[in-house]
Amino acid sequence: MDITQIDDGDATVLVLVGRLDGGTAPQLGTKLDTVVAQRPGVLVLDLDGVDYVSSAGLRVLIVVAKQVREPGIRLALCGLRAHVRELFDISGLAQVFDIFPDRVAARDN
Amino acid sequence: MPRLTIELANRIEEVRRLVETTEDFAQNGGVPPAVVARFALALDELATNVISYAFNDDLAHIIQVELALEDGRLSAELIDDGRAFDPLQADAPDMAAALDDRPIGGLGIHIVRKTMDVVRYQRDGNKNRLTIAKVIG
Repeated sequence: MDITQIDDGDATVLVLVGRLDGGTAPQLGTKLDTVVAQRPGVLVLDLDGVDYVSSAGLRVLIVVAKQVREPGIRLALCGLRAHVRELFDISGLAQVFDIFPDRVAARDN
Repeated sequence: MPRLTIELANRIEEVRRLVETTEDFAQNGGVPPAVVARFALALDELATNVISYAFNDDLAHIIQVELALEDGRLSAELIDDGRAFDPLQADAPDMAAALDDRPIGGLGIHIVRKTMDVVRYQRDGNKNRLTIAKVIG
């Protein structure tokens, strides 16, 4: 998966492109560890370019949701495709994450 | 009656090939994209489970996947020679639980149960057989 980091004031946006599955989840997990250690005020994960998510990918997102609590980083997701959003609904994660339509809304809310 | 058999080595990188081969098979059979996506994901979850948990030696194993598209139904059977393990017996995760109370495991099987019409496990001699099927609406 391609991960592009955009630092924008106190917000860090990670633009994800590709598949988020058991093969790529460790790569994202490593990147998230690094970004969380930098303690941005807001961490936005843009999933608009992600056309496939498995439970291995969801697990990485659950892990980062726990990691951001103690340093007080606000975590926001955006750009979920319809079938990816469906997966969040099925697994009850839609209530756990703050989900926005796009990057700007995710950063500013 | 399209059918296809795929043999996977017990390595996690093989799951991608399974997903892509399954997507091609179903798309070529005219299965709607939303069904293709759910079905391929369900197979990913089961195969990932088998590769991660079924084998307690360091040996190479083959997981056989038989795809079939017939009678308005897309189905797959996964056959492995790992230890007897019925993933359907695993506790369902509590979907209303707060983040801290959520078990990390069980999510994949939950997704399979929610998205497939048939999910079945059988122990057959020294083999595990997992079957999933989705009716094409």
